[in-house]
Amino acid sequence: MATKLSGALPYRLLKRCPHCDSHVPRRSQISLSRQRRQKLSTSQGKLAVAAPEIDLSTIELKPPNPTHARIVPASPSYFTGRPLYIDNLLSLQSLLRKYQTLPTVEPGLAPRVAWKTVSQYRLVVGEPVRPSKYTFVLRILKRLNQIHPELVPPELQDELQIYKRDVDPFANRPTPGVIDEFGRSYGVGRRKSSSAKVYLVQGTGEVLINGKSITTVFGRIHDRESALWALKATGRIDKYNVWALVTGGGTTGQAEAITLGAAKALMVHEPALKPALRRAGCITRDPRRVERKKPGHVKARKMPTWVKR
Amino acid sequence: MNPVKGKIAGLTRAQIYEIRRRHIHKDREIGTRLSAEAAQIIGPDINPALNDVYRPQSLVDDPPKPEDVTLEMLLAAQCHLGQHTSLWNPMNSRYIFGVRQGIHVISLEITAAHLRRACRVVQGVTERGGLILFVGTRVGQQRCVIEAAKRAGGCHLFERWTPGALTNGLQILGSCKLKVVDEFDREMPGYGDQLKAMPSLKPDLVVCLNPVENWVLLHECSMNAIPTIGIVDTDANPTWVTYPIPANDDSMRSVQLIAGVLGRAGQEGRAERFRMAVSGEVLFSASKLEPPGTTANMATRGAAQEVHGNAAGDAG
Repeated sequence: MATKLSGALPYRLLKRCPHCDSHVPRRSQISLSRQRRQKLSTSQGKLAVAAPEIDLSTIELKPPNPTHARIVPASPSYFTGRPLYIDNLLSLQSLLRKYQTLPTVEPGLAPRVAWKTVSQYRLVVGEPVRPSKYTFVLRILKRLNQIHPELVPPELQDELQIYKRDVDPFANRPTPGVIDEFGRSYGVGRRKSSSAKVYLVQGTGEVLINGKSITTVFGRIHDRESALWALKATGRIDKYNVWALVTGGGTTGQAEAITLGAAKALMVHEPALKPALRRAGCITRDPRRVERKKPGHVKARKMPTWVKR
Repeated sequence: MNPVKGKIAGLTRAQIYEIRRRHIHKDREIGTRLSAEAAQIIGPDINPALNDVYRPQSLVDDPPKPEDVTLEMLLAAQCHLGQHTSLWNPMNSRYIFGVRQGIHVISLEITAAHLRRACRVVQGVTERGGLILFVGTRVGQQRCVIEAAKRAGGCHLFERWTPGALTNGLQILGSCKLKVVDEFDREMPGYGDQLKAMPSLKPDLVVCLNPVENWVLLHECSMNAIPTIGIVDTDANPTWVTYPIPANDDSMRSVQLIAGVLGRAGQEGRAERFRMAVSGEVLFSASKLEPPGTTANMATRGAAQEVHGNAAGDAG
């Protein structure tokens, strides 16, 4: 059968097809010309073949001879200028190819790992690695981290350990609060320059702040409501008794400090209330402080009247 | 599990596929066929249509040897497809076979001849213990460049070439480590102090798979009298490289085939070097090194530390 190419080839590269009466391309063995092929076939009866590869493991090699010493790069990535980074990348890629069929978990459920930062990695390899290049390494690390924790091979664990930070910040977890023998939980809250220590115990809804009732301490209804907002928002005003010691600042600061302290103490009793308290705005410590007055200003921001002349 | 012939007692479909994938027959003409041992395990014709299938990974894992390259193979790998006729470089007119559908078609006989010559050069360099740098900076060329360098015992480069790595080697490659090896490529310890004072290395031969993008590298090579081999498409300048291989540099299959064949040539040259070394024959002259631990070495070590300090060693 004539192929499309047979029309374009010169005559000497074509031959007649025995099955159909047309020209087909001749298979060319470009490694041997016709004369050489004939010479070899007549002289040896078959085509010459190369000697078998030498197996160095079976031969007694002489000890290293300094007269034949030559200098070569220590790594095949020498001419990249960043051989250690490239070698790391290639070894991670080969590990990924090897273990890519292992089952993985969803990215959110993988163990939380603090990988080395670019600066830390640069210190390890001693090469000027760009952050954009380091992201290739991080991408593979994150994919390898997604392998199911129970199925991670030891070889892979050792390799990943090199890229983890020396100190694992996620291992630093706050100690959970405890309820003492009297059934009290403890929480600390701060706002502006006020600081509040709040004790919460199962009870009927009594509140004492610095030994006084809440109406005596906070004249403003807004402050009374915001101090107990954590209990009000979750509907537990009548379930707990509150004992608070608060110092520093003014009325609003002290009231908001009690809010935060009471919320933390409530979470010791009922940890499941955290999402509800977050929606109520009781979890975040408000970091705002009074801004200092600056020279040239009347107050922190207010400036004297601008005069044209 | 599909009902199949042969000794497949208890094998799942995935296991059968794995066996087929691993037992690649060395049929370089068309692609891969089942080897005799694999056929014994899972039966000869599980699906005849799968026997003569092209497996792209075979070009990287098991490329053909230079003597096994045929025009059919080059054609199947699309090595003959040049660029559009409007983009051609007239210096390449001697390599062009004709025009078809608006593109120049490269003559595969010429491609094959130039490829054979390049293979002979690579083999000769590796026989003499030379250092070959394989360069391929396009997407998809990383694997074949690494494999070719591994076979030839050379170096690879698949990301951007840092300009000045040859002309300003002390600055750019100064902190990259070197080692001393014997005629069997075994590392010889004890030369660390001498290596710290050594200048950066230059390759003895550079194989570039995309010379159009790496003209800076090729210019540096020409300034340092380093011969180069390059895949020259119809739009490239053939005078940039010492040994052009007129072929398609845009197709991954074409590039992987050529890189694989050159890697095989390097492998053969390296094997020949080891064969000669066993009988005591060495075709290269040794580097000028003092034997480790001599008094002369101690003196130079102190001088080298004074001049260069310990920065290179500590940073690496």
